[in-house]
This record gives sequence, structure tokens and C-alpha cells, in this order.
Amino acid sequence: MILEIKELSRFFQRLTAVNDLSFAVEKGSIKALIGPNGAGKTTTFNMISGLLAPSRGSITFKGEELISCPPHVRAWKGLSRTFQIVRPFAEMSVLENVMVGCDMRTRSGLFSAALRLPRCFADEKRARHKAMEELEFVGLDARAEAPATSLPMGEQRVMEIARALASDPEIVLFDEPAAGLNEKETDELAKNLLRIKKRGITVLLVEHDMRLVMHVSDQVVVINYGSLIAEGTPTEIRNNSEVITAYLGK
Amino acid sequence: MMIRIVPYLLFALFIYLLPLLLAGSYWIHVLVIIGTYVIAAAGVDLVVGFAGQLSLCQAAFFALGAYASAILTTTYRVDPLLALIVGMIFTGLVAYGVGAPVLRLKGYYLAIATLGFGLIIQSCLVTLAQYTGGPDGFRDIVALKVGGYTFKTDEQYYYPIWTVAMLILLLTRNIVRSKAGRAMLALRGDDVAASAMGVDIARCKIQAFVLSAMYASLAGGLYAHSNRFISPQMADLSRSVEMIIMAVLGGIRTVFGVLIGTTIMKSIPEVLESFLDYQMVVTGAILIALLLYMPQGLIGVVRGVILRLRSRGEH
Amino acid sequence: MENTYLSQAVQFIFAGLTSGSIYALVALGFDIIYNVTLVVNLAQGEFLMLGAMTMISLHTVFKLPLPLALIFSTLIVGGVGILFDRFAIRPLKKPSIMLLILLTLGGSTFLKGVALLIWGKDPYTAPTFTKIKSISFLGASFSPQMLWVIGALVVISVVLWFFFERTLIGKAMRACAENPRAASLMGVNVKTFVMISYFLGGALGALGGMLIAPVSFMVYDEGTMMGLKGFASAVLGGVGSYPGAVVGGLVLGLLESLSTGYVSSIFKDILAFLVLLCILVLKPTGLMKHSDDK
Repeated sequence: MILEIKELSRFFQRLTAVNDLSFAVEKGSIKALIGPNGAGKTTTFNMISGLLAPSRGSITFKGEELISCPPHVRAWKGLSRTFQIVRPFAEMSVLENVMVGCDMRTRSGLFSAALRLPRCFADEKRARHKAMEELEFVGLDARAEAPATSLPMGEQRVMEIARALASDPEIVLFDEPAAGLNEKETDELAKNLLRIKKRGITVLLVEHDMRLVMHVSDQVVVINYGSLIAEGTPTEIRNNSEVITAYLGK
Repeated sequence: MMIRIVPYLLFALFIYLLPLLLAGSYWIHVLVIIGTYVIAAAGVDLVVGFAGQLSLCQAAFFALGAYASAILTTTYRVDPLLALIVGMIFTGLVAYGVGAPVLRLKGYYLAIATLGFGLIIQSCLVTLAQYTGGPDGFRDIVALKVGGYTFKTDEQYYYPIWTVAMLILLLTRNIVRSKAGRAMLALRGDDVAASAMGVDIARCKIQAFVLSAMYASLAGGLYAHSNRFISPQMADLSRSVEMIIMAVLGGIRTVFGVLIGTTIMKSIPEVLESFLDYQMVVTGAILIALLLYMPQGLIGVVRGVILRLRSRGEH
Repeated sequence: MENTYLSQAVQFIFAGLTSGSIYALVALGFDIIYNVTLVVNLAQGEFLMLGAMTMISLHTVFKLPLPLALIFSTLIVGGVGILFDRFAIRPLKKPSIMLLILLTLGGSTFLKGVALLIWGKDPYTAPTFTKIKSISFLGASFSPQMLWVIGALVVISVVLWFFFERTLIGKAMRACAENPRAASLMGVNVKTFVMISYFLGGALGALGGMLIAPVSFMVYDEGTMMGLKGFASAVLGGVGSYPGAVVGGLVLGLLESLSTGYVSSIFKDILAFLVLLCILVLKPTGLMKHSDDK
């Protein structure tokens, strides 16, 4: 199990967003986290990626406890993510956006950069090469030099995927990657997710699009009102009465 | 590779030949001052333009460097070159001390915190009169000495100062085109996403802040020697505002745009007679007009015009 | 012995309440503009300075009787506030925090520069509102101007409370802040209310300046420090909260006065900065508001 959540909870002043959530993600698999709106999915994600501190519980990644580990260190350890609402780095090109992902794997510092030392040179070349590789993987290499914000939203999402992959992560968290995508784009996304799995990268995704979830997931976790209500294969979940009730209401 | 060096060599040549064209003119003195402020403005561009941290105390760092050089060389007879370096380290440490807590703040809070810090520095420079000469300033600063050579006239100061300025710009250009530069831009663009992509945003902010403070300190030290007189007024908030204009007017994040911005801002007082009284009004007006109508600076305007001409040519 | 300690304490407390009232007025000005426009007006301190200077000029140069000078000065600086919004803030096409900070900063520099041109670098004094030289209380003597200041704060606070809680215009202005889109859909002219908020911000700043000018000197660059302390007060009480502005201002004034009196005067100006830093690091939402875990 590459990622384990144990009794994860998050309380706000007047509401419990996540309550005693426990599940695990198997290495190399695709696991989906689903639930009705407001179920606590994004809160859970934000706790896993380090943007929000849990009120209680533990998050273990590759056997290591992640609590009090800042987001950039989690990224460095191999945990990457995309965002529900795209967060491109404005003022930079698509290629440069993706290079930020690669940059965490290089070690040249300010000094060698300022003086353009050979080490910096080599690192730049390597980062550029790797970034282009990932852009080719997602099919955006033609847009490498374009300003990131000039891309249509769908392509910006794809760029975010390339950016998340550029650091050679072991697990990528996808936060509603299909939101706002049309059918054709969603099919492309499904294809990409499966290709990512083929590379040996674990995928944890939060999604509303059931077709996508059923198509790509190995395992599904269903939560509602911050608590886990079901876990299993897509087929098992599809026939689970509690899940159906949660979505359709009593 | 060779072709890319040519513009820089040409520019360097131009800079070096300029004093010969302006032989004996007062403008050489102005250019010396411009040279020092170019260094400071490059630092402002780094921390405000690239890293997106609105630091309103850059003039205070400039003053710290100036006073460090002045006090060390003139009162304590320290070697000027050593004093410059000590000043940079000192200012860097001060920047680190202030930056570590303050850079956690965002938006207005960061701006006001740095503003407050600048006020404190200015206040200290006035109050610690026995070291700094108080509100009337510090006079007769010792000349800059490198090796055995003493720089005395404006022409003599021009060359080392502009050489340093050009080197600093080159260094800055290299920094922004590297991992560090991308980290700063990522931090500016979206700090949450930057963090998730492995950028240590706290460290990046402090790096940019300290580096820009050291730039300002170096500039201040060089200014102290070449101008021979400094006063606490140089730490004033309006000077920090001027420096931001210098970074933005030419073109934010263009690195070399500071040459344009600084030249304009420092030439205005020379062109308008009895300008000193009008300086603040003009500074404020320029900043407002710049931000409202020309946020990309002059280079941005030129780029826009070129783009429009190109697209018209395609039709 | 007892008497001197008591009278000293009373002296410091009154001084603190006086300067604190001014900070509160500046903070109120910040809050009003912020609540309607979400802009933190860094030129707020300059409104204070301009109010004082204008009143002094109207009274000493144009020989207007003091009450008229006060009224006209308030109106004039309120007008400056409106112009400030019209020419420096409103034309901004793509508002962002950094741009707004720099714009208001530019405005502050501009207004300072104008003051420098008109009044120069000299400090100015104003006559106190009443002719009585000083009042004695518990062994401490102080200027009755202090009572004017504190009294004005009380009156202004009540008036503002009434305005925002009970009048239609005031309530509409609050609506603007909370949801400008909905407000404009409901027929509220957002632009007008923005204008009103800037007028009020300017007026409050001016009043603060006019109240304090008789007690301390006014110089063209006094606004910067005052603005900083007013901002610190607003943050201390919770940005946007009117009672918070009053509490924050008075607390800051008292802290300043007591530390200056009992410890050392070095702290005077640094204190506001340190208080601001502490609050921002420890409890950014200020003393009055509950913080939501984040």
C-alpha cells in the first residue's frame, strides 16, 4: 500500500468536513474517491497533499508519516497533484510551467545559475528535455512556447497533468480532472490516466463523472458527509444500495 | 551562441564610450548615479517583479549599504572594497532577520510590514547621529580604492560602477532564466500550485528578498563613495516607491528594462529646474499613470505596437 | 507618593486615549473604504495630514472662524477622497492586490508631494478649540483638546453606528461590500456608494487631523506614520470591523503611551510596527473576530 489514510478527520468551527476516514491505495492502481457534493472529497485531498492540516488521524506515504510535512517536501517525496480549478503559472510558457515540475529533481543552486556554470547548463538541458517528453506524452508539445494562460481551459488541464508528471512522481492526485470537459476530452483523459498507470504511477482521483470512474478505476471509495460509506471495485459500488441512496437521497 | 553575445558587447562598448562623448559634462555625474540605482532597481525587479513580493523598504537597504560603507571607510578607515562586502553581508543578514517572519504575510500586510521596517531604519539613521551624522547626513566620504588605485572624479567612478552594473544585470538575467527564476515566477503566479510542485516557497521568498537587499546595499555603497555625501532621506518611502517605478517603467521582468526606468527617473530632476520640490508629486503621478495605463512598461508598449504591426502585415 | 504615581498614570492614560482616538479615526476611515470597495487605502494617513493643513490655512490665512474652517476642511478633504477614487482607483482595468497597493501608495506619494509644494517642510500648529489652557484632574494636568478628541471619537462612533445600522444608505453600503453584484442587480448604484465611502474616508481622516493638530505639530509627511498606526489599529481590531477600529486604536494609543512613559520613548514609533507584526503572526483576524481554522 503506497498511501494509507487512517482515521483522518477535519473539523471546522461549525461543521465536520471529514470524519474518521480510513482507506488505502495500492501501488500502481487507480483508485477513485467519489461522493455527492460537499462530501469532503477535496478537503481530504488537500490534507493528503499538505495544503490543509488534519484535525486528527494519520497519512502514511511509502511507509512514512506525512503529518507536518510541508507540501513541497511531499512533492519531493513523490506525491504530485492537479487542481480542480486550473492553477497555471501565469507569466510563463507551457514548457516553463512543466519545467517547474522537473526543477525539484535538479540540484544546482543560485550561484551556479548566476554564473552559468556547466552544472547549471546540464541541469537546464535535462529539465527542458524531460519537460518536452511529458508534453509529448500528453500531446501538448506543439504548444510548448505559448504563454500558459493563452491555452483554452481544457488544454491547461492537460498541461497541469504534464506538470504533475514532470517530477517523476510515484502517485498523482487528480482533483476532478474531468470537470468542464466534453465527452471527447473526457475520453482523452481516460486514455491518459490508463497510460499513466502503465508507467507504474499510482493514481488517486476525485471525480463526479461516473462513466470515467467506472471505466478507469481499479478500486472506488465512496464518502458522504465526511465519512466512508463504501469501498470496493466499480461493479461492487455500482450495486451498493447505500451508495445509491447517498446519491439519490432518501 | 556567438550571435547572442553581440548585443551585449555592443551595449558594453556604448557604455564605455559614452563618457568620451559627454566629455566633462555634468551628465557624467548623473550617469554615475544612474549606474548605482540600476543595481538597486535590478534587485527590486527580482523581488517585486519576479517573486511577486511587494517590498516597500528597498530604499532602506540601499541606505544601509551606503551608511555601512560611509561609516566603515571614513570613521574606521576600513578598506572600501572590504567595507562594501561587509555592508552587503550585514544588509543581507538584516534582510534575513526581517524577511523570515514578515515574508509569511501576504498582500497588504507584507507591504505595510516592509513599509514600517523602512520607517524604522530611517528613524534609526536619524537618531543614531553620533555614528551617522544625523538628519544632516554624512559628508566627505572617503574615496573608493581598489588595489592601489583611488577613484576620485566622476569619470573615474563611471567605469567601475557601470561595469558592476552590467555584470549585475547579466548575473540577474542568468538567474531568472534558471530554476531559481522559474521558482520565483511560480511563486508569484500561484504559490499554492508552486508549493505542490516542489517549490519551497518560504525559502524562495527569502532568497529573493535577501538577494535584492544585497543588490541595494552594493548600490548604496557605491553611491556613497561616488557622491561623497549621503543622508537619511535616501531611506525614505518615496525613494522605495521611486525604485519600484524604475523597475516597472522600463518593463517589469525584462531585467534590462531597469536601464530605461532608472535613466528616466533619475534624469527628470536634471531636466526640470528647481525640481526637488516637485519630485514627490511627479513620482506619485508617474506611478499612478504607469499602473493604470502602461502596466507592462515602455518595453511592453513597444512589444504591443510591434505585435499589432505584425498582425496587420499578415492581413 | 501615591499622588504622583496616580497622576502620572492618569497623564499617560489620557495621552494614550487621545492619540488612540486619532488612530481609531484613521482606522475607521480605512474600514469604511475597505468595507465598500475591498481596497485598503494607503493614502488614508495623507487625508489626516491634509485635513489638518487645510484647516490651519483656512483659519490663519483666509481668516475663517475655526468652526467654519473645520467644516470646509472636512468637505474639501472628503472631496479629495472622491477625486482619489475617480482618478487613481476606478480607471484600473484589471484590479489585483499588488496594483491596488501600488496605486494607493502612488496616491499617497502624490498627495504628500502636493502638501510639500503648498506648505513646505515646516511644522504647523493650530489653535485649540477652546481657550482654556489646561485642566487638572487627579493631579495630572492636560489640555482640554484631549477631551475634544475623545469626545469627538465617541460622537463620531455613535453617528457612524446609526448611519450603518439604521439608515437606508448605510445599509445599502454594507450590501455593496458583501455582494456588489447582487447589490447592483437590486438597483443599488455601486459607484455612488464607492464615492460616498471615499468621501467618508477622507472626511474621517481630515477630522482626525484637525483634532490632533492643536496638540501636536503637523508636517507634510506626518501622514505616513499616522496611516501606519491607523492601519495597525484596524488590523488589531479586525480589518473591516468598526468597533474593532475603535478598540484597536485606543489599545494601540494606550500601549504606546504607557510604554513611552514607563519604559522608554525609543519605543514610540516602533511599537505600532511591532504590535502589527505580533498580531499578524499570532492572530491575523484581530482581537475582535473569531478565527475560522485554516
